[in-house]
Amino acid sequence: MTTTATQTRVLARWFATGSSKVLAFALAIATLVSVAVWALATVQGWTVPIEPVDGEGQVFFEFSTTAFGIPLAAVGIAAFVLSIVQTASYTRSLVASGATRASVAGATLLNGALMVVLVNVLAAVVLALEARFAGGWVGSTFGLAPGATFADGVPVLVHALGQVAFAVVAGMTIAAVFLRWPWWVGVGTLAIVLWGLPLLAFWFEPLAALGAAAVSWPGAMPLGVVALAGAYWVVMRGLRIP
Amino acid sequence: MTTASTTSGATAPLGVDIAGLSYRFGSTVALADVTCAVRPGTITGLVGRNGAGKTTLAALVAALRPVQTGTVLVGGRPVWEDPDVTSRICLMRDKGAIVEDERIGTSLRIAAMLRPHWDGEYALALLDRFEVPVRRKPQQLSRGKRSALGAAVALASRCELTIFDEVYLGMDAVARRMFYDELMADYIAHPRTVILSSHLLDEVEDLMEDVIVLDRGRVVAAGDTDAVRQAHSRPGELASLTDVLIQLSTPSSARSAS
Amino acid sequence: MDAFDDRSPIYLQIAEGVRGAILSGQLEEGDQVMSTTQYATTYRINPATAAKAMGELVEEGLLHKRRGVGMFVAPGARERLRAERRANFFADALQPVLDEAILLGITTTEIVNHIKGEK
Repeated sequence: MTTTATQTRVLARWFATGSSKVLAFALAIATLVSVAVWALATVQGWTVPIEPVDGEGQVFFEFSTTAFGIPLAAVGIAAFVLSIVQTASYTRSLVASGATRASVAGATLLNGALMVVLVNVLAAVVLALEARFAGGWVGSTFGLAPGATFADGVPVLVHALGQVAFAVVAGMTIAAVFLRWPWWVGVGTLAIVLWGLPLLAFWFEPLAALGAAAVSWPGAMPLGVVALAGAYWVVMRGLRIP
Repeated sequence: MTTASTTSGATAPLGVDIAGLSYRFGSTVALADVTCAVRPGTITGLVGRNGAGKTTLAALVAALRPVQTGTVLVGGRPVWEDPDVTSRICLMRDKGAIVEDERIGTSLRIAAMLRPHWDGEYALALLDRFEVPVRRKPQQLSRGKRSALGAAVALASRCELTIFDEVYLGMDAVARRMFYDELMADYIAHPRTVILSSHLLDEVEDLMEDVIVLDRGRVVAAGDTDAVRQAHSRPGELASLTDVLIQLSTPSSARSAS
Repeated sequence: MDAFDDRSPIYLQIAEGVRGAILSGQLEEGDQVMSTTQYATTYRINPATAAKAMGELVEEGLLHKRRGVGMFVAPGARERLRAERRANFFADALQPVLDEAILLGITTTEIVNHIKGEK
């Protein structure tokens, strides 16, 4: 008898095979770039800081990195993009081929979790390498962490790597929104989240304060991940295949 | 009657029972209080003019859309989100189950993962017979070969309920003849329930044991094909399904008026 | 589709074809009739259609089914058909011809002479 569990398992395995290949490929390419940058830096006698980009009213990233961090960034971005692309490319075909929406959603979430774990593992490797070779932890992670200092160590790492989980789940959710509703629903949602809310925060102090508090609370990211996973599930449940 | 054996591996054809099914897209009514049944193990035709509701009905049977009003049972069970049912229903239309922008192998892989009785060798044999190049992407294929791909996947899936919704658009007459031959041969060797929706009535009416005729979202005739044809015949001549359809379809003037 | 016309349902035409073959001796007692599968693939029709025809013929006692083997012409089928058709011959086959003859003014003598000439 075919169950959700059997379908989820076989789909998750298929997704995972695809993701692993893509992430490994991204890692390989980025490592080559890193080696080239490092070689260049050594030859030229540089260090390669990347200044944080700051801007009010917009989502901003704050990161610094050594050459070790480039592959990590690449793989993190690849995981995010893969989450969107896999959801967009395969969801409809899988449901039309006899998978339930629950199975596809479960497999997509499981694969997302796998990708986050892989990025975590890579981050740990990067940390170790930096500790060994770059004289201490430089904090080669990227994230929405205003005000957090890299001296905070592991909690920041956890928080920052939560960004990857958040990005991966956000990616599948927004892709699902585009699958389920007309295009302008997805575009509208993105516009509100990426423009509307930060703009509102800019104009209204209490909202900005609320936002800052939420972001700096360690539980914010896990909560966000769980909430988005729930949203993704709900969007998937009612998916129509035109 | 319409219950399939639930022991794993059993391939008893599944029947369909639809009761009081209504469906609307916004303000447009696609189906209005449809009640009909598809007997397990038959080849049943789904016939009607454009806009009669055939595609919507097929989509609801295959759980591609959630039911709004009424019930759809396949093998005696509701279809929505039940993997043991949906894995045994194959709806093949022009778009959907095939991944257009990756090589055909991806689509075959997906079917192999999800269809309990998938026969990969049979699929390849069919693709070979229809001369579909396996290493191409579906979107690169000509119309006829793209249709043949869909037909091949649907046949090789060996689903206990297989629905062909105009899957042979673009196939030339020779390819269509090959398809009918393959369909009949596999239907005889591996019995399943087949729902055939086609506009090419002259070609398929002798293949259908039963028929359901839709007009503007309603069932206007259903049952044994010969009986339906005879009911609409003049003496000494057997009406074709086209004749039946003409008689039972609302004229366009009346349609656009309401 | 090519072998059948559109005057009556195909299953009736198949049944009639088998009756004709039995009458003419093409099919003798104990001969096996084409299976429904063979009908389906030969004429590109649904096997159920052929099955309907066979069902009728079995009911009429002209065919009988040997489980696992196929359909066979029943003993005495030819006689049974002949007897049945004989009963209807004069009313169904001959009378229309005689009606036509009357219309054309052909006399009984002419008809009898023609028959004698043939024999």
